[in-house]
Amino acid sequence: MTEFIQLILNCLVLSANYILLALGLSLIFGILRALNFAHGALYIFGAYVVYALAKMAGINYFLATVAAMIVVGGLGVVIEAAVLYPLANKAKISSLGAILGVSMVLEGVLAFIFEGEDVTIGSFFTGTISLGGAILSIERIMVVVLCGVLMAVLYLWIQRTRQGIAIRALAENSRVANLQGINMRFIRYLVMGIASCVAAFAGAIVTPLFYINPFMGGHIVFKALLIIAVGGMGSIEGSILAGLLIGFVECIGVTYLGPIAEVISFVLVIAIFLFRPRGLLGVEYEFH
Amino acid sequence: MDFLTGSIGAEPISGWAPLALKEKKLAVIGGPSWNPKPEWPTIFRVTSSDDERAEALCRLMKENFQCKSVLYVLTDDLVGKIAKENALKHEKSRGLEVKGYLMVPPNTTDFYPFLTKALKTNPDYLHCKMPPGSVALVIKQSRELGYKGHIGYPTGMPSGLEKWQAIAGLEASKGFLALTTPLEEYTPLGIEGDALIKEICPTHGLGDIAYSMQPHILMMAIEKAQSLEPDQILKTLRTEEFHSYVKAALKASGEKTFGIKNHMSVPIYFSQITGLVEFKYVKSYHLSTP
Repeated sequence: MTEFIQLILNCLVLSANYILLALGLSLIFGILRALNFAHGALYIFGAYVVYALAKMAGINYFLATVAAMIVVGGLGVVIEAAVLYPLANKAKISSLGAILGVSMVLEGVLAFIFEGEDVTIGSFFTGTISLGGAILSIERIMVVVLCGVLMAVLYLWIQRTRQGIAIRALAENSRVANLQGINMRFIRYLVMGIASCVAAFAGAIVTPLFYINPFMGGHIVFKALLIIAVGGMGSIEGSILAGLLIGFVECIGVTYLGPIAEVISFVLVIAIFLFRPRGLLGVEYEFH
Repeated sequence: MDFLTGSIGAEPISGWAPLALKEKKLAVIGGPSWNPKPEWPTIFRVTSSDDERAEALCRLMKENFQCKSVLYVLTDDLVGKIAKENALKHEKSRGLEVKGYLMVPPNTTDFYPFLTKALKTNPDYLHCKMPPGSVALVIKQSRELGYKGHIGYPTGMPSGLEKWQAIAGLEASKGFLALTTPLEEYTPLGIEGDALIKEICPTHGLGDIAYSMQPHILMMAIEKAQSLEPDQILKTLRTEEFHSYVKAALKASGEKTFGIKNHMSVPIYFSQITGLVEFKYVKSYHLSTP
């Protein structure tokens, strides 16, 4: 029983990690129809803002997290205005190349300022609790809880607010949404800003478990892209489902089979695409 | 250029060595994770090899901490694979019951799924061969999971120790064993070298001596040979005794192991973390590869 509880918690933490990464990316693809390769860099950027404010300047961690969300959200809007929007109707490869460039610029800036060392934001929820013999670290439980809160907030925002309705309309059919008077450009900025805020929030709450260095973004974004593809490009619910699925398969596999589990999760991904080419909850989309 | 000197890792040496040989340059190179080869006759290594370091750590754990079993936690890359091969090859001579080999993919940050089951085997110590950031996370997460045994690192004490301890957790990092040369084991030249590196590179410091003394050994070999002829210098490197950064005399070995006497082993000094950026010297080994 102890082992089972521990296993479930391990799986939930890994899944929460994946979901937090994938949510913002999924939101961007849903509206902007763009693969934001800079999402991992924005996640790490957010973590570094928290590190600089909380660890170096001694500002309260929660205030630092809010500040990171504002800074990175603003950065996301700048990226949309300067890179993604001007290239929205150009050849696909140009926006992909440009966003990869943005990612590298962000990494370079962080490496220049922070010297590329591994650093940690530090734990703000310390200690462990024992449940049925399983040891649960409070900071890991908090990641799962905060991930749940974020999912709920995003869901309510998209389902219950006027902006959310506009976003969904735009995702469904941008031309008709435009004809209904939805300000497409504003929604694009809003989505990029919110998605970047989500990336910063994820960076702020997940990275205290681990460490950060400026070059982690590439590896992170690769996994997140895989998750949103499995979930169905642009589907928030799909990303959550895929994050849970891949997190659980990987975690259970690693526990009982070792590193070969990663191969198993990729086989699963291939199988999903073979049977459901649009992903688990995917809809038909135009790719810009 | 007449000679080459420096430090290099296991991956780049395979590409780099043939180029150096083509130029027929004598190279005195450090780096613990590659081995001399008969087909590289002009490449001379000054270091304690990964194999020697792992052997020394096992001995230390048995002798000082009465450990009887070990769990290897290795990165699933070339260095980790070589470490596993060596551990399998020397399992008997190391004399520890092996509880398992955890081969962890590079870039892993969440070790819980790997450690949860493996720690149930109750190993007396974790033998970690992986990048410093990963080791810090193994320490942090294994302690969170209730592991109370020893954790050893057959590599230089991580540089930027304060930041590294912040990742591992101060309490969790106490007792951690890694390589650091104590000041009293340095010669005056070693102290000078240590101070110089601290001055020009305060974040990192000298750290691992296996990466430091190759240029000095080359200079001494030239002086001892009284010649600039690479063959003469190589012969001197293979036969003479050298005194460099550390008090222990350094002498070439490796004929039986590598088929060529092109390895100069340096002593392995272990220290144990006792507090924030504080550690105490525990023991040293000077293993000469046969």
